[in-house]
Amino acid sequence: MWFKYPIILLLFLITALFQAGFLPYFSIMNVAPNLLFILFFIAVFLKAEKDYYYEFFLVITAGFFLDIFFNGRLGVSILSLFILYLAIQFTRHLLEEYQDEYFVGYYVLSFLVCFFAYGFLTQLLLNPLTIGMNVGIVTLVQILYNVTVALLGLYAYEQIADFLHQDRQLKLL
Amino acid sequence: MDIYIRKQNFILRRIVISAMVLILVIGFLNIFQSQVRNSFYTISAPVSKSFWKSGNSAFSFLASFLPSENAKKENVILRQENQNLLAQVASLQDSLRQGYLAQGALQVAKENNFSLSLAHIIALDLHSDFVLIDKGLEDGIYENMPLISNEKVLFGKVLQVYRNFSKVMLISNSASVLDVKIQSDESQKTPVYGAIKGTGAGSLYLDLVSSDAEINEGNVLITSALEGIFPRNLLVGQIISKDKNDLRPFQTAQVQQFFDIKNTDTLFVITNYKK
Repeated sequence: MWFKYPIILLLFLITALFQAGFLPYFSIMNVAPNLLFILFFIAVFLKAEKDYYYEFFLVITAGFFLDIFFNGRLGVSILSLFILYLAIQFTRHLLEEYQDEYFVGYYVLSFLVCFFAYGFLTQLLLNPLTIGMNVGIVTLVQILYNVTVALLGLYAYEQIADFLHQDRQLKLL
Repeated sequence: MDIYIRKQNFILRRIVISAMVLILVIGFLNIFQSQVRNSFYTISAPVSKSFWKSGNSAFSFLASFLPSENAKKENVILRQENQNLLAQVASLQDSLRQGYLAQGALQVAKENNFSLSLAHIIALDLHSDFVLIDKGLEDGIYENMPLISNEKVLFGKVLQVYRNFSKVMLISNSASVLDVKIQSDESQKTPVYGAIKGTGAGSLYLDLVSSDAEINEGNVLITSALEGIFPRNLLVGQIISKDKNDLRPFQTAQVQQFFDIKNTDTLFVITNYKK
């Protein structure tokens, strides 16, 4: 499955360009979903099998594209995503038994925690003196918009996964 | 037990190796930051521009279906403003004919004789209020150069310059502060000064206005050039609500910014402004 590397690279590239060029027009109260982050989260959170090198590649690729368009310093998102990646793995390991039962709730909660943790980490690495959070209507819009897109992403991922894992082998009747 | 320890060591070793690789990658990216960014933007610019244009078209198309209640209200306000402006223009023309303001007007025209460099927006970071434009060092762009629209509306200043591209910090960025003059209806009054601070997500507020100064809703804010980065008399925004508190030494106000990044794809960099 070597070709998954260029595919994911291309996917992240197109998403980054789409997010920086197209999505600002569809912002609500100047808030647009962070598609790159959502894509990264889905790819790490919903992975079917363990492949450390692939996940590490995801961290570097997603972090690079987030940094090049949306951060002042290269490497900040890479580092933040790596920390989040380790946290996701650890949490998944701890909460393994509840994952299937309350999957959507678990997914949304994990996404929100990671989303705000990512914001906090990038702020910490870029401007530690200006760390703070203004909770208001904009934050609510940010949560709703991003969670909606993340849920749509989950649905799309499941559809694609179902399609790819269909048993297409011809069987004798 | 032995297997468990070995597994733990294996995981730990993997994390340490990954961390080392990350340090190398981040170090490399930061040493060659300028080259990496410029090369990437050069390669991706055609696609970015097409996304920007298609986003604009799609937005305009969809906006035509949205309820027009706001547009009607805005239209009424704009019509009133237009009438006021026409009256002011007539008054100014009269004054100019008399030669009373001729010298001053000529001075203003001279001051505003900017040397402009046209730039196109390639990407926008809504979260941090940054814009990427397709002009850089090779086009004579340097840090801190102001960006305006063709209507002399201030957008921001150049923050980082690469060979062919520049990163622009919008005035709504949370780190942005600029000095402004508040234009009141009565020209005889002593001018009131304040500072415009960005709050992120495309919004601004007015701060550091003396508590005894009189400011009103609808007052227009223009640059005062006190900070030495922006030329004077560039349009910034309009006061929509003021917040005066006797306990505080300064009064603040909510500001509706004039710049509209969604309806702009072309900006002008003022390349010859010096304090």
